[in-house]
Amino acid sequence: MCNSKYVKIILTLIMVFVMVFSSLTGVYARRADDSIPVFDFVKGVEGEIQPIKYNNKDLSIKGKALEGTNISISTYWYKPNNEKTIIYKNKSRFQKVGSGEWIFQQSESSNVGISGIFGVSVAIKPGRNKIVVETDDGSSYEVEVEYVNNEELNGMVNSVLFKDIDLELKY
Amino acid sequence: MKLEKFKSATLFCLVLISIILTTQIWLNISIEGIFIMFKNKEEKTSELLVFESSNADLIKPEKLILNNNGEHTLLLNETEIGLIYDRILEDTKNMLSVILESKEGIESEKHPMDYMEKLRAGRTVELEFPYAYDYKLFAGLLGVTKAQWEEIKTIDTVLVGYESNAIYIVDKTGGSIYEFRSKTLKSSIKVMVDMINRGNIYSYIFLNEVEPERYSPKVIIPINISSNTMAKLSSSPEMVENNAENIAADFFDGDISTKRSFVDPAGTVVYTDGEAGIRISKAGVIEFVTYSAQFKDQKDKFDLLEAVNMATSFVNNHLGFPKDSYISSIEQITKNNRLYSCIVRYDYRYEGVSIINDETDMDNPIEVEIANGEIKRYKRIVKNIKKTSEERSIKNPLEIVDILLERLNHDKKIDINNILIKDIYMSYFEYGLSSDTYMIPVWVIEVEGNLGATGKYVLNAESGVILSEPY
Repeated sequence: MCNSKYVKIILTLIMVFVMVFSSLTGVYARRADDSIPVFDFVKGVEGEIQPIKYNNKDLSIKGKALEGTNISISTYWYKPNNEKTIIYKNKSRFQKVGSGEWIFQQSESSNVGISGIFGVSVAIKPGRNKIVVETDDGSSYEVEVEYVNNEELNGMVNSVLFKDIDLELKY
Repeated sequence: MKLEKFKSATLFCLVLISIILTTQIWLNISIEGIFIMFKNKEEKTSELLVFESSNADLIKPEKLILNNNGEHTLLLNETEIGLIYDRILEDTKNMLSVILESKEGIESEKHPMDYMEKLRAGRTVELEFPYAYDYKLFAGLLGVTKAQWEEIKTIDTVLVGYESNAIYIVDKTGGSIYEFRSKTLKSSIKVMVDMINRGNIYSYIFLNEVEPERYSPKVIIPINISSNTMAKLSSSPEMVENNAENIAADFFDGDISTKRSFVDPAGTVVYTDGEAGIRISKAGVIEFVTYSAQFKDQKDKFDLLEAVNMATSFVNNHLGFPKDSYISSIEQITKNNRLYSCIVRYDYRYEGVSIINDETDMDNPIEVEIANGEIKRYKRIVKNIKKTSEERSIKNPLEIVDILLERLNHDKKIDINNILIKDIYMSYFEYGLSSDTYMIPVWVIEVEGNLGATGKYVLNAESGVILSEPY
């Protein structure tokens, strides 16, 4: 009888945890509405390029330039000094860079043909990223992108929640 | 004591269900056999699979695009993701049926055409149909008997907001986008999209977002696909497996012993009985013609839906539809303000990629002409397709566009500012006129404008060599 009570309590607790954590992941699987601007090196980009919130691991960089221009696209990731993960991260986004540093990730280049269009897909990392698009004549655009990786969050919750649970329960 | 045990068992079940649902919905672990159906891993891709299809099955998009916060992906109906692709289509059609059938409990809003930009920048699934469906026909094909929203003229594109379950119908003829919302609209599209996003997907861009003057809004191309390869295909006519005599018998109630037959110098076999005839060529073209259909008096009641039903049923009864078939276009001819005849065209794809042929005679795989309420002509060229071991690399489509623009600009002296590119897509190009042919991956660019170069350009996807261009 006593054992049965304990089993019920444990099961109830598990259910409550599952609900709480699934709600948490739901909160973080939020919508992000900003879209990436077209980097126009011919007519210029209207207005100032604003920081962007994003939840895709790939980012399409597209734009226009004169035929023969060499475009190079470099990505940087902001490494904060504290080691906390993004689950516990301070919610104020795009605050001024504090004591962290921008770490170079990768660079891709593309030569513009007669169509005058370039398009490159770059991978970004969870957290803050900086994309620098520049031409061989020195003109450049820069955009800051914050990427919230829902997959990683889910994986993390998964490992915390289920690592010790044996689903093949036996009586 | 018994009650206690029952309570414990119920609680245990609830916990188990909550764990399963949580893992599937939030933690991206799918357990095959519980909610996800097992995949048939032993499906043979080399066999020509022929199916019986309903009209609703044959409504398929030319392009199915996932728009995710400014990122785009073109989804191909490949074996690997076939179940997900079908589920997205099925759910969209179910939602459309609910909306078209009744106005009750449905909120609607009308937007101008430029609202499309906002929809593409949001989180939507976009279904671009191969041609502008007449509204009533579309509803009829879905099985909706009394379509309610009569102000809609044509259905060109449908979008589903997978966060909100809102449906958007793009009516290019009427120049509006209709938004529909209802509590009754439910779908699993979001879960399907999440599954797709978990895999390795290619990023695509709409070229009109960069240069709206030169590219139509339907031009979408992948970027960074240089490492991608596609297999070269081999093909043979379907009648290799079903010989000509059996095929002809299928059209003459199983008996051809009393029909006249002859073989022409090119090897085409002809069977006829004076009222109808069938010719079966060596290359695989099957053409059935009823001689009397056009001479009868005009029928009183004969509408487009009836014609499409008749055409689909005729194909179902005569050789069937190959896998991934869809209605590609419907052409109508009216006499005295009444529908007199129409041609229903069906196309099919291999692993989500369409097949084209330089010979115009062989470019529409299945074509049924209905005149005066009867089948007048049925033409069919369906191939048994197999993968070869040869892999072909794929050139970046922006390089392909450059090759074409250079050809038009330098060789044909056309100002590139006058060129409008209507569409760019990947295809398999069939070459060779014998019974056994090969198909190689190509890029197809459709050009529009008053420049004497309008039409379809076919470029080898590996080398960029122009294989076919308009005269």
